[in-house]
Amino acid sequence: MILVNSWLTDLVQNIELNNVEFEYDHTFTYSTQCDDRSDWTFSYLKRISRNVIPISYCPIEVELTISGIEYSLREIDKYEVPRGKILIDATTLALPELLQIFHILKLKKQNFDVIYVQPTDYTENDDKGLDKIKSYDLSDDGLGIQQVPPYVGFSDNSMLFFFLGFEGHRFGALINSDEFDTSNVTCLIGSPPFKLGWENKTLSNNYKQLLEISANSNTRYKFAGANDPIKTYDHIDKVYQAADYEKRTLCLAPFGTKPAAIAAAQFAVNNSNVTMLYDYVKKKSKRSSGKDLVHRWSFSYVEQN
Amino acid sequence: MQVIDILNKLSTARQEFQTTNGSVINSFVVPFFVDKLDLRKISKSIALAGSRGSGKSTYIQYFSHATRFDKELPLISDDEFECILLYWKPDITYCQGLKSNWLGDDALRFFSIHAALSLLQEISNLIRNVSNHYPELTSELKNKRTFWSRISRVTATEISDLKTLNTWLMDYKYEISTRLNPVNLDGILSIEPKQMLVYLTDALRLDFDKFEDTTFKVFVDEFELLTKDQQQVINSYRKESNKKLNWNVAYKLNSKPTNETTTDQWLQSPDDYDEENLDSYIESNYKIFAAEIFILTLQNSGLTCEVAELTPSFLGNRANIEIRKDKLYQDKVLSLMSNILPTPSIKELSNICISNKSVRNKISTTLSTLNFTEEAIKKINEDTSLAITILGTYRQRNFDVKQITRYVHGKSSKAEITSVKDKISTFEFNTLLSLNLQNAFIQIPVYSGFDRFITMTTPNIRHFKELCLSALKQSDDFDTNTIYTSVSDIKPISYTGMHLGAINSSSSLVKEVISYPPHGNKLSHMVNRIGELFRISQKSSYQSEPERDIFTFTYDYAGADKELEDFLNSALSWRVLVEDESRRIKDDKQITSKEFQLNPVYAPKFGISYRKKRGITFSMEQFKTIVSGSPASFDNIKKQYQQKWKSDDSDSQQGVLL
Repeated sequence: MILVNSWLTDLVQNIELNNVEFEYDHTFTYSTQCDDRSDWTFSYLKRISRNVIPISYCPIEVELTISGIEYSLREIDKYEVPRGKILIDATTLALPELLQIFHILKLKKQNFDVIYVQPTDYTENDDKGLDKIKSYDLSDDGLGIQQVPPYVGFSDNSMLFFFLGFEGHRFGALINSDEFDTSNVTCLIGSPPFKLGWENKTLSNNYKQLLEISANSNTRYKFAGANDPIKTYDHIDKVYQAADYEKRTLCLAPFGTKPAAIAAAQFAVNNSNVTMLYDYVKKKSKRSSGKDLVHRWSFSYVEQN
Repeated sequence: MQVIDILNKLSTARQEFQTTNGSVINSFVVPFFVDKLDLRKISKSIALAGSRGSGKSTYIQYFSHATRFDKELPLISDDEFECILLYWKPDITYCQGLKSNWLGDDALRFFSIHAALSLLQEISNLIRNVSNHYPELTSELKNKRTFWSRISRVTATEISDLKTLNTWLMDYKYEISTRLNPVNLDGILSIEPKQMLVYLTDALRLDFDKFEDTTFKVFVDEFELLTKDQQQVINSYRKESNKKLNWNVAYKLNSKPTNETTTDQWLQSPDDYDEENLDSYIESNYKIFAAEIFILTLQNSGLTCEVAELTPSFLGNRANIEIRKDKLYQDKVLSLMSNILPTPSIKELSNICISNKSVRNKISTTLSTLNFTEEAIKKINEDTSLAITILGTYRQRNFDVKQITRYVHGKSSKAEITSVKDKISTFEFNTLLSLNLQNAFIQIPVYSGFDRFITMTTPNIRHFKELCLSALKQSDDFDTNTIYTSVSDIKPISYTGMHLGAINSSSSLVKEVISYPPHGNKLSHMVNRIGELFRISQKSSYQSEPERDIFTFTYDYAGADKELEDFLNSALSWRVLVEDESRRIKDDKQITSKEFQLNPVYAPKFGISYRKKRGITFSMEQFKTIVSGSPASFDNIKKQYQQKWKSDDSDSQQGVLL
């Protein structure tokens, strides 16, 4: 299994790019940049890592493209992880890529680090419609909610763990699909959030959905720091144990912050009977602004007992 | 019960039919069309299409063995054995996850196993249900052994009773769930669902004589959500349907599942199947049907009902349809509903409107400016409908003071009287809508009443219930301790209460649109932006024509823009848009006959009309901007219409929360 054994945090403004030295041999990242953070991250990665490897996951072809070479999921183990120290850029990579690359690195028993840069703000929707409640303009339509192979399993008897984010409609899509047992859902709220008060934005943007599921269900809420994959992992584990006791599978829907998605991906590769949901929304350019804290988590491979 | 208790029970509306054993007994109102659309009697394979919320699944479940042989039924007729309906709602997320690009040929193998195990569970449930009424089935199966020996063969396990079969099913399902990560099909049974059913139903026929001539029908629900490969497999089964085993599907109206099969012999309608449109059946008697369903829901929440016939078992028994078609009965039901949700006539709404001092002043100033005589003004003020209509139409070019004067003095010709009355019937309601939008202090309850709820929701029972529920929340008794025991105890909801309830419900449904995959963002843009444009039109003080709420755009639907057609199909299948066949938009250049209206249930959110009246034609470019353009580019379109309709930009909010 892969475990976090250290966590470093610094402010972006404290990092002088010209003084950064090579610490890594290879960094996995997404090929396009879409906001302030990713622009900075890309410059940073070029200085901290000797080699940058672009990866992307295509949900239709179900294949992972690494350095321009396509690998179907069933032959993903054929990918030879280059020798040297590995870094994964979670700022630009989305959940499916993180999940697949974690999967490969665990398979190859490889230690690695993960980097993530927090934004200072997210872009609000400037549609001057009739509604006065602010909503967030972070993504365009995706493919709809799907299970991410190979984390596929029956959903009729699964226990749903949903990570709340700023886009309540993504939770709404899951409820409206009528495919999931929302009468027994656990919700993760990122608290403390990246910035004081942002937990209110999470709640107000999911208010309608929470009201709906609370009307006739036993909704449970868990709280973990929005940038804390370790605490998030603990919560997932508790829900997993409860699901396992009831002979149910765990269904993770990490639609919240990236650090929480990192925990979800880590948990999925470490355990069996976990299904993973994602809606493949298209990230909008300039979806966030500014760059705040930089986190680096070190993951190491440990043989499971 | 207090109102709050009733509301808590009713708020589960969405899930109330998701029963654990698949039976809808006592929670289903048999619709009048049931004999025309008896799923067991139609010999051909059927594709049941219905919009979201039309009750497809419940309708199928009514005919399934779970309901027909429900334990609670006192007596089962032997006729029930003529056709047994097996209901299968696939685990859609799982099925969609079985991608052939990932699993290759194994994808369909996993799908087949899932289908086979689900249908095997249905067979097991069938035996349980039938045994409740025919205990001899258990002993016959035990003695003759064909069925159990074939079950043992299919499962490759020695099984001779239901309990062991159910345990095996649960264990095997678990086993299958561990075989995808990593993919490993070693030692997994290869079960072909259709062959399995042929084999097992044949065994049932051999072992139990009541099954001898039974037609077994399988209904696959949510068919449109299966992958194309999976649909092809089921289509092959549909094509091979016969009297003994017949395969059917149900899907969302306007979704376009494939007609391809696993061979080059595609499925063809009407040779291989008939598509039945559940919506059009429901529309025919929607009003009484909706009323009965709501009263039944109130009863299921714990209230009694003094109309003796209106019991869950009465409504669930098809033998009572003739009684339910009787006018006396319908009057009783409708009066019960009208008592809870009284419908003000348009004239009453005008009276409410005119009781507002500033409206009276406005009318008075307008009439004086138009140079009506004192006497004519007096007479106009006595006819509130006319007064309101004048307020909405006096700026029209053809507005004729003399004609109105003759009318109020009773000196008009017959033709003139008809012309004025037509104008009132067209513009009175229109004016009320405009007044609501023009003045923050005016709140005429234009969306109130049972009849209006019916018009706004046809044929969607779910929306109807949501409007009713939302209106109940506005009950004067909400904060009191008044105890209700029967449906007739419910105090009539005030007009304003219903109106506000409708606006709340409507706003909430509009907010839901963004979560309709896969085009949620675009659908939401379309609804909100077109709603806003119609609101601008409605708000204009110059109403040259009746309410604008229909739109069209120049496109010939010949497949040139697949993305656009996909989007429109999605909008129609979610019933965000309603297609209107008639041509209401006058435009010689128009090359299309397709006109669309936003779902009328969205009207209260925007303060616009739910009546189908007039509309606008967008250019293709405008329509695309509306659907996916930036806020700035939409603002340009908005400004163009504001100028065209002489409407100002200051959007004074209605006196309610939007």
